[in-house]
Amino acid sequence: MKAEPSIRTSHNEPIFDHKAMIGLIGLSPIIIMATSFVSSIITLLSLMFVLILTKAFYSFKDFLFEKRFKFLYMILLVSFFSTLVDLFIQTKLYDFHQKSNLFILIIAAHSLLFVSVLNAAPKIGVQNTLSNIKIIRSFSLLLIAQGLIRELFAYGTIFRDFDIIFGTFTSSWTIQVINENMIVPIFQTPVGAIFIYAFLITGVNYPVIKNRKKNINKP
Amino acid sequence: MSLKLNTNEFEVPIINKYPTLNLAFIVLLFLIILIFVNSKLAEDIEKNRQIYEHKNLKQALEIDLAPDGIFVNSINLSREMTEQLGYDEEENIVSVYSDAKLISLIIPSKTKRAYNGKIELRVYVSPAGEVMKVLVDEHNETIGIVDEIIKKDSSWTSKFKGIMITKTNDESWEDYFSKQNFDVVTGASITSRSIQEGVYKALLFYKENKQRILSTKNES
Repeated sequence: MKAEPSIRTSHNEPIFDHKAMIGLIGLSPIIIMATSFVSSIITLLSLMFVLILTKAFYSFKDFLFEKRFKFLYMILLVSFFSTLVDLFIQTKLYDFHQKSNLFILIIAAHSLLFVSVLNAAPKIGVQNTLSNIKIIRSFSLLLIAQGLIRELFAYGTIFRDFDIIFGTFTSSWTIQVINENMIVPIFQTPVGAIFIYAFLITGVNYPVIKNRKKNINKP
Repeated sequence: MSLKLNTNEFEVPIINKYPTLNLAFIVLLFLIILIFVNSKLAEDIEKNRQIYEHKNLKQALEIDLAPDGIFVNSINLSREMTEQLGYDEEENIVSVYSDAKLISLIIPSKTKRAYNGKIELRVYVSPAGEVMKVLVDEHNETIGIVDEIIKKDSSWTSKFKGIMITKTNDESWEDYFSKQNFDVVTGASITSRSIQEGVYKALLFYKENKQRILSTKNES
Protein backbone atom coordinates (compact mmCIF):
# COMPACT_ATOMS: atom_id res chain seq x y z
CA MET A 1 0.00 0.00 0.00
CA LYS A 2 1.36 3.32 -1.08
CA ALA A 3 1.68 5.91 1.66
CA GLU A 4 -0.18 9.16 1.17
CA PRO A 5 2.29 11.93 0.40
CA SER A 6 2.57 14.57 3.09
CA ILE A 7 3.21 18.24 2.49
CA ARG A 8 5.17 18.41 5.78
CA THR A 9 8.07 16.25 4.79
CA SER A 10 10.74 18.87 4.21
CA HIS A 11 12.21 20.84 7.12
CA ASN A 12 13.87 23.75 5.46
CA GLU A 13 12.28 26.34 7.72
CA PRO A 14 10.93 24.66 10.84
CA ILE A 15 9.08 27.68 12.19
CA PHE A 16 6.95 27.91 9.08
CA ASP A 17 6.34 24.18 8.95
CA HIS A 18 4.69 23.57 12.28
CA LYS A 19 1.24 24.84 13.07
CA ALA A 20 1.73 24.35 16.81
CA MET A 21 4.89 26.42 16.80
CA ILE A 22 3.40 29.17 14.65
CA GLY A 23 0.48 29.31 17.08
CA LEU A 24 2.67 29.39 20.17
CA ILE A 25 4.94 32.13 18.88
CA GLY A 26 1.91 34.04 17.58
CA LEU A 27 0.63 34.12 21.15
CA SER A 28 3.84 35.71 22.35
CA PRO A 29 3.45 39.21 23.78
CA ILE A 30 6.80 40.24 22.30
CA ILE A 31 5.25 40.61 18.86
CA ILE A 32 3.29 43.57 20.24
CA MET A 33 6.50 45.36 21.20
CA ALA A 34 7.99 45.50 17.72
CA THR A 35 6.53 48.84 16.66
CA SER A 36 9.57 49.96 14.71
CA PHE A 37 12.79 48.58 13.27
CA VAL A 38 14.81 49.95 16.19
CA SER A 39 12.46 48.67 18.87
CA SER A 40 12.41 45.22 17.27
CA ILE A 41 16.22 45.12 17.26
CA ILE A 42 16.43 46.17 20.93
CA THR A 43 13.74 43.67 21.87
CA LEU A 44 15.45 40.93 19.90
CA LEU A 45 18.85 41.54 21.48
CA SER A 46 17.34 41.59 24.97
CA LEU A 47 15.42 38.45 24.24
CA MET A 48 18.48 36.64 22.88
CA PHE A 49 20.46 37.57 25.98
CA VAL A 50 17.78 36.13 28.27
CA LEU A 51 17.11 33.14 26.05
CA ILE A 52 20.69 32.03 25.44
CA LEU A 53 21.75 32.35 29.08
CA THR A 54 18.55 30.70 30.33
CA LYS A 55 19.02 27.82 27.92
CA ALA A 56 22.70 27.47 28.87
CA PHE A 57 22.05 27.43 32.63
CA TYR A 58 18.94 25.32 32.23
CA SER A 59 21.07 22.52 30.80
CA PHE A 60 22.38 21.93 34.37
CA LYS A 61 18.87 21.11 35.55
CA ASP A 62 19.36 17.31 35.59
CA PHE A 63 22.53 17.72 37.56
CA LEU A 64 20.99 20.02 40.17
CA PHE A 65 17.35 19.12 40.61
CA GLU A 66 14.68 16.49 40.52
CA LYS A 67 11.85 16.80 38.02
CA ARG A 68 9.49 18.79 40.27
CA PHE A 69 11.95 21.67 40.67
CA LYS A 70 12.84 22.05 37.01
CA PHE A 71 10.10 24.48 35.98
CA LEU A 72 10.74 26.56 39.09
CA TYR A 73 14.41 26.68 38.13
CA MET A 74 13.48 27.87 34.65
CA ILE A 75 11.27 30.66 36.07
CA LEU A 76 14.10 31.67 38.37
CA LEU A 77 16.60 31.86 35.50
CA VAL A 78 14.25 33.82 33.25
CA SER A 79 13.40 36.27 36.06
CA PHE A 80 17.05 36.79 36.92
CA PHE A 81 18.25 37.44 33.38
CA SER A 82 15.19 39.57 32.52
CA THR A 83 15.88 41.76 35.57
CA LEU A 84 19.52 42.12 34.51
CA VAL A 85 18.41 43.19 31.01
CA ASP A 86 15.90 45.60 32.51
CA LEU A 87 18.58 47.23 34.67
CA PHE A 88 20.87 47.50 31.67
CA ILE A 89 18.12 49.05 29.51
CA GLN A 90 17.38 51.56 32.29
CA THR A 91 21.04 52.50 32.34
CA LYS A 92 21.67 52.79 28.62
CA LEU A 93 18.26 53.25 26.96
CA TYR A 94 16.06 54.96 29.53
CA ASP A 95 13.76 56.52 26.92
CA PHE A 96 13.04 53.11 25.44
CA HIS A 97 12.38 51.75 28.92
CA GLN A 98 9.83 54.50 29.58
CA LYS A 99 8.13 53.98 26.22
CA SER A 100 7.71 50.26 26.82
CA ASN A 101 6.23 50.01 30.29
CA LEU A 102 5.89 46.26 30.52
CA PHE A 103 9.24 45.49 28.90
CA ILE A 104 10.61 43.26 31.65
CA LEU A 105 7.37 41.30 32.00
CA ILE A 106 7.04 40.82 28.26
CA ILE A 107 10.63 39.65 27.86
CA ALA A 108 10.17 37.25 30.77
CA ALA A 109 6.85 35.92 29.49
CA HIS A 110 8.24 35.45 26.01
CA SER A 111 11.40 33.74 27.23
CA LEU A 112 9.34 31.29 29.27
CA LEU A 113 7.20 30.57 26.25
CA PHE A 114 10.16 30.26 23.89
CA VAL A 115 12.18 28.00 26.19
CA SER A 116 9.08 25.83 26.56
CA VAL A 117 8.68 25.76 22.76
CA LEU A 118 12.31 24.78 22.26
CA ASN A 119 12.02 22.07 24.93
CA ALA A 120 8.86 20.77 23.32
CA ALA A 121 10.34 20.97 19.82
CA PRO A 122 11.17 17.26 19.46
CA LYS A 123 7.63 16.32 20.48
CA ILE A 124 6.09 18.37 17.68
CA GLY A 125 8.45 17.20 14.98
CA VAL A 126 11.44 19.51 15.15
CA GLN A 127 14.35 17.21 15.64
CA ASN A 128 17.57 18.75 16.87
CA THR A 129 19.65 21.70 17.98
CA LEU A 130 20.09 22.80 14.38
CA SER A 131 16.32 23.08 14.11
CA ASN A 132 16.26 25.13 17.32
CA ILE A 133 18.78 27.53 15.79
CA LYS A 134 16.62 27.72 12.68
CA ILE A 135 13.57 28.53 14.81
CA ILE A 136 15.43 31.35 16.54
CA ARG A 137 16.80 32.64 13.21
CA SER A 138 13.39 32.55 11.56
CA PHE A 139 11.78 34.22 14.56
CA SER A 140 14.41 36.98 14.54
CA LEU A 141 13.77 37.69 10.86
CA LEU A 142 10.02 37.69 11.50
CA LEU A 143 10.36 40.15 14.36
CA ILE A 144 12.54 42.55 12.36
CA ALA A 145 10.23 42.32 9.34
CA GLN A 146 7.29 42.94 11.65
CA GLY A 147 8.97 46.05 13.11
CA LEU A 148 9.70 47.45 9.64
CA ILE A 149 6.22 46.79 8.24
CA ARG A 150 4.45 48.09 11.33
CA GLU A 151 6.54 51.24 11.35
CA LEU A 152 5.72 51.84 7.70
CA PHE A 153 1.97 51.27 7.91
CA ALA A 154 1.29 52.53 11.43
CA TYR A 155 3.37 55.71 11.32
CA GLY A 156 4.27 56.02 7.62
CA THR A 157 7.98 56.32 8.47
CA ILE A 158 11.27 54.49 8.24
CA PHE A 159 14.25 54.90 10.60
CA ARG A 160 11.97 56.01 13.41
CA ASP A 161 13.17 55.85 17.05
CA PHE A 162 16.90 56.03 16.23
CA ASP A 163 17.11 58.80 18.84
CA ILE A 164 16.44 56.17 21.50
CA ILE A 165 19.87 54.69 20.82
CA PHE A 166 21.96 57.47 19.35
CA GLY A 167 20.49 60.60 20.98
CA THR A 168 18.21 63.43 19.93
CA PHE A 169 20.40 64.59 17.02
CA THR A 170 19.28 61.49 15.08
CA SER A 171 15.58 62.45 15.26
CA SER A 172 16.03 63.99 11.82
CA TRP A 173 16.95 60.59 10.36
CA THR A 174 13.28 59.61 10.36
CA ILE A 175 11.90 59.65 6.83
CA GLN A 176 8.18 60.09 6.25
CA VAL A 177 7.41 57.68 3.39
CA ILE A 178 3.62 57.56 3.58
CA ASN A 179 1.48 60.62 4.11
CA GLU A 180 0.11 60.90 7.66
CA ASN A 181 -3.46 60.88 6.34
CA MET A 182 -2.92 57.52 4.67
CA ILE A 183 -1.52 55.57 7.62
CA VAL A 184 -3.47 52.72 9.21
CA PRO A 185 -3.60 53.36 12.99
CA ILE A 186 -4.76 49.81 13.77
CA PHE A 187 -1.19 48.65 13.12
CA GLN A 188 -0.10 50.63 16.19
CA THR A 189 -2.24 48.36 18.35
CA PRO A 190 -1.56 44.76 19.49
CA VAL A 191 -4.29 43.58 17.10
CA GLY A 192 -2.35 45.09 14.20
CA ALA A 193 0.77 43.22 15.32
CA ILE A 194 -1.06 39.89 15.18
CA PHE A 195 -2.45 40.74 11.72
CA ILE A 196 1.05 41.46 10.40
CA TYR A 197 2.37 38.24 11.95
CA ALA A 198 -0.40 36.32 10.17
CA PHE A 199 0.30 38.06 6.84
CA LEU A 200 4.02 37.38 7.15
CA ILE A 201 3.52 33.68 7.90
CA THR A 202 1.06 33.39 5.02
CA GLY A 203 3.38 35.27 2.69
CA VAL A 204 6.35 33.05 3.51
CA ASN A 205 4.41 29.80 3.52
CA TYR A 206 2.41 30.34 0.34
CA PRO A 207 5.18 29.78 -2.27
CA VAL A 208 6.74 26.94 -0.21
CA ILE A 209 3.46 25.03 0.03
CA LYS A 210 2.68 25.74 -3.62
CA ASN A 211 6.07 24.27 -4.65
CA ARG A 212 5.56 21.20 -2.51
CA LYS A 213 2.12 20.56 -3.95
CA LYS A 214 3.60 20.86 -7.43
CA ASN A 215 6.32 18.32 -6.56
CA ILE A 216 3.78 15.91 -5.06
CA ASN A 217 1.60 16.06 -8.16
CA LYS A 218 4.58 15.28 -10.43
CA PRO A 219 4.39 11.70 -11.74
CA MET B 1 21.49 -17.53 40.55
CA SER B 2 21.44 -14.18 38.87
CA LEU B 3 23.50 -11.33 40.08
CA LYS B 4 21.58 -8.07 40.51
CA LEU B 5 23.49 -4.85 40.48
CA ASN B 6 22.02 -1.90 42.33
CA THR B 7 22.73 1.02 40.04
CA ASN B 8 20.60 3.62 41.86
CA GLU B 9 23.50 5.05 43.80
CA PHE B 10 25.36 5.71 40.55
CA GLU B 11 22.43 7.32 38.72
CA VAL B 12 21.82 10.15 41.18
CA PRO B 13 24.72 12.58 41.55
CA ILE B 14 25.41 13.61 45.15
CA ILE B 15 24.56 17.24 44.44
CA ASN B 16 21.12 16.24 43.19
CA LYS B 17 20.26 14.69 46.56
CA TYR B 18 19.56 18.09 48.10
CA PRO B 19 17.44 19.91 45.48
CA THR B 20 15.85 22.32 48.00
CA LEU B 21 19.26 23.33 49.23
CA ASN B 22 20.44 23.82 45.65
CA LEU B 23 17.44 25.98 44.86
CA ALA B 24 17.93 28.07 48.01
CA PHE B 25 21.59 28.53 47.14
CA ILE B 26 20.78 29.63 43.58
CA VAL B 27 18.10 32.08 44.80
CA LEU B 28 20.58 33.56 47.26
CA LEU B 29 23.30 33.80 44.63
CA PHE B 30 20.98 35.53 42.15
CA LEU B 31 19.79 37.94 44.84
CA ILE B 32 23.33 38.89 45.78
CA ILE B 33 24.24 39.45 42.11
CA LEU B 34 21.13 41.59 41.52
CA ILE B 35 21.73 43.68 44.64
CA PHE B 36 25.33 44.23 43.59
CA VAL B 37 24.44 45.17 40.00
CA ASN B 38 21.61 47.41 41.19
CA SER B 39 23.87 49.25 43.63
CA LYS B 40 26.38 49.86 40.81
CA LEU B 41 23.74 51.11 38.35
CA ALA B 42 21.33 52.95 40.69
CA GLU B 43 23.15 56.26 40.34
CA ASP B 44 23.10 56.13 36.53
CA ILE B 45 19.44 55.15 36.48
CA GLU B 46 18.49 58.03 38.78
CA LYS B 47 20.48 60.41 36.58
CA ASN B 48 18.67 59.07 33.48
CA ARG B 49 15.32 59.50 35.22
CA GLN B 50 16.08 63.14 35.98
CA ILE B 51 17.22 63.80 32.39
CA TYR B 52 14.08 62.13 31.08
CA GLU B 53 11.78 64.15 33.36
CA HIS B 54 13.62 67.34 32.51
CA LYS B 55 13.24 66.63 28.79
CA ASN B 56 9.53 65.93 29.21
CA LEU B 57 9.00 69.10 31.22
CA LYS B 58 10.88 71.13 28.66
CA GLN B 59 8.72 69.69 25.87
CA ALA B 60 5.49 70.12 27.79
CA LEU B 61 6.11 73.67 28.94
CA GLU B 62 7.76 74.66 25.65
CA ILE B 63 10.24 76.86 27.47
CA ASP B 64 13.97 76.57 27.79
CA LEU B 65 14.77 75.29 31.26
CA ALA B 66 18.26 75.32 32.65
CA PRO B 67 19.11 71.67 33.47
CA ASP B 68 20.68 72.55 36.82
CA GLY B 69 18.21 75.27 37.76
CA ILE B 70 15.12 73.09 37.51
CA PHE B 71 13.49 71.91 40.70
CA VAL B 72 10.40 69.74 41.01
CA ASN B 73 8.26 69.23 44.12
CA SER B 74 5.07 67.41 44.83
CA ILE B 75 2.26 68.65 47.04
CA ASN B 76 0.08 65.93 48.53
CA LEU B 77 -3.64 66.58 48.24
CA SER B 78 -6.12 65.34 50.79
CA ARG B 79 -8.87 62.90 49.79
CA GLU B 80 -11.55 65.64 49.77
CA MET B 81 -9.42 67.77 47.50
CA THR B 82 -8.72 64.99 45.01
CA GLU B 83 -12.42 64.14 44.87
CA GLN B 84 -12.93 67.55 43.25
CA LEU B 85 -10.51 66.43 40.55
CA GLY B 86 -12.41 63.18 39.95
CA TYR B 87 -10.11 60.82 41.87
CA ASP B 88 -11.04 58.31 44.55
CA GLU B 89 -7.54 58.13 45.95
CA GLU B 90 -4.88 60.61 47.07
CA GLU B 91 -3.03 62.46 44.34
CA ASN B 92 -0.21 64.97 44.05
CA ILE B 93 0.15 68.32 42.40
CA VAL B 94 3.64 68.79 41.02
CA SER B 95 5.14 72.23 41.18
CA VAL B 96 7.99 73.12 38.83
CA TYR B 97 10.56 75.75 39.77
CA SER B 98 13.18 77.23 37.51
CA ASP B 99 15.93 79.18 39.24
CA ALA B 100 13.89 79.11 42.48
CA LYS B 101 10.87 80.70 40.76
CA LEU B 102 7.59 78.80 40.47
CA ILE B 103 6.85 78.48 36.76
CA SER B 104 4.15 75.82 36.57
CA LEU B 105 1.88 73.49 38.50
CA ILE B 106 0.91 70.12 37.08
CA ILE B 107 -2.65 69.33 38.17
CA PRO B 108 -4.01 65.81 37.59
CA SER B 109 -7.63 65.54 36.52
CA LYS B 110 -9.90 62.58 35.87
CA THR B 111 -12.82 63.22 33.56
CA LYS B 112 -16.32 61.83 33.80
CA ARG B 113 -17.06 58.89 31.53
CA ALA B 114 -15.93 59.49 27.96
CA TYR B 115 -16.71 56.97 25.21
CA ASN B 116 -14.96 53.98 26.80
CA GLY B 117 -14.37 55.12 30.36
CA LYS B 118 -12.67 57.88 32.26
CA ILE B 119 -9.69 59.82 30.91
CA GLU B 120 -6.79 60.95 33.07
CA LEU B 121 -5.22 64.27 32.21
CA ARG B 122 -2.30 66.37 33.33
CA VAL B 123 -3.07 70.06 33.13
CA TYR B 124 -0.03 72.35 33.26
CA VAL B 125 -1.13 75.62 34.81
CA SER B 126 0.88 78.81 35.30
CA PRO B 127 0.89 80.32 38.83
CA ALA B 128 -1.62 82.90 37.51
CA GLY B 129 -4.02 80.09 36.55
CA GLU B 130 -3.54 80.00 32.78
CA VAL B 131 -3.37 76.66 30.97
CA MET B 132 0.13 76.04 29.62
CA LYS B 133 -0.37 72.52 28.29
CA VAL B 134 -2.83 69.65 28.45
CA LEU B 135 -1.58 66.07 28.20
CA VAL B 136 -3.66 62.90 28.11
CA ASP B 137 -2.17 60.40 30.56
CA GLU B 138 -4.46 57.39 30.40
CA HIS B 139 -7.52 56.52 28.39
CA ASN B 140 -9.47 53.62 26.90
CA GLU B 141 -10.72 55.42 23.83
CA THR B 142 -10.49 53.87 20.36
CA ILE B 143 -7.04 54.42 18.87
CA GLY B 144 -7.28 55.88 15.42
CA ILE B 145 -10.41 57.87 16.12
CA VAL B 146 -8.99 59.91 19.01
CA ASP B 147 -5.39 60.15 17.76
CA GLU B 148 -5.73 63.86 17.05
CA ILE B 149 -6.69 64.43 20.68
CA ILE B 150 -4.40 62.12 22.61
CA LYS B 151 -1.07 62.60 20.85
CA LYS B 152 1.52 64.64 22.72
CA ASP B 153 1.75 67.39 20.11
CA SER B 154 -1.99 67.49 19.47
CA SER B 155 -3.07 70.69 17.73
CA TRP B 156 -6.51 70.35 19.34
CA THR B 157 -5.28 70.23 22.96
CA SER B 158 -2.87 73.08 22.19
CA LYS B 159 -5.97 75.29 21.80
CA PHE B 160 -6.40 75.13 25.58
CA LYS B 161 -3.19 77.12 25.97
CA GLY B 162 -3.82 80.47 27.56
CA ILE B 163 -7.36 79.86 28.78
CA MET B 164 -8.22 80.62 32.40
CA ILE B 165 -11.27 81.01 34.59
CA THR B 166 -11.75 84.59 35.66
CA LYS B 167 -15.44 85.00 36.37
CA THR B 168 -18.04 83.07 38.30
CA ASN B 169 -17.84 79.52 39.61
CA ASP B 170 -21.48 78.89 38.77
CA GLU B 171 -20.82 78.67 35.09
CA SER B 172 -20.87 75.10 33.77
CA TRP B 173 -17.98 73.80 31.69
CA GLU B 174 -20.32 73.42 28.69
CA ASP B 175 -21.29 77.11 28.88
CA TYR B 176 -17.69 78.15 29.42
CA PHE B 177 -16.40 76.38 26.31
CA SER B 178 -19.36 77.31 24.11
CA LYS B 179 -18.72 80.97 25.00
CA GLN B 180 -15.12 80.49 23.99
CA ASN B 181 -16.25 78.94 20.64
CA PHE B 182 -14.11 75.94 21.47
CA ASP B 183 -14.81 73.30 18.82
CA VAL B 184 -14.74 69.51 19.23
CA VAL B 185 -12.93 66.99 17.03
CA THR B 186 -15.26 65.57 14.38
CA GLY B 187 -15.94 61.89 15.05
CA ALA B 188 -14.59 62.14 18.59
CA SER B 189 -16.97 64.66 20.10
CA ILE B 190 -17.62 62.66 23.29
CA THR B 191 -13.89 62.34 23.99
CA SER B 192 -13.33 66.03 23.17
CA ARG B 193 -16.10 67.15 25.52
CA SER B 194 -14.85 64.85 28.24
CA ILE B 195 -11.41 66.46 28.02
CA GLN B 196 -12.94 69.93 28.12
CA GLU B 197 -14.73 68.91 31.31
CA GLY B 198 -11.45 67.60 32.79
CA VAL B 199 -9.54 70.76 31.96
CA TYR B 200 -12.29 72.97 33.38
CA LYS B 201 -12.34 70.88 36.54
CA ALA B 202 -8.58 71.37 37.01
CA LEU B 203 -8.80 75.12 36.38
CA LEU B 204 -11.71 75.52 38.77
CA PHE B 205 -9.89 73.49 41.38
CA TYR B 206 -6.83 75.71 41.08
CA LYS B 207 -8.91 78.87 41.21
CA GLU B 208 -10.68 77.75 44.37
CA ASN B 209 -7.57 76.43 46.11
CA LYS B 210 -4.91 78.75 44.73
CA GLN B 211 -3.91 80.35 48.02
CA ARG B 212 -3.91 77.06 49.83
CA ILE B 213 -1.80 75.34 47.16
CA LEU B 214 0.71 78.14 46.83
CA SER B 215 1.13 78.49 50.56
CA THR B 216 1.42 74.73 51.17
CA LYS B 217 4.85 73.70 52.18
CA ASN B 218 6.32 71.28 49.68
CA GLU B 219 6.02 67.71 50.83
CA SER B 220 8.91 66.18 48.98
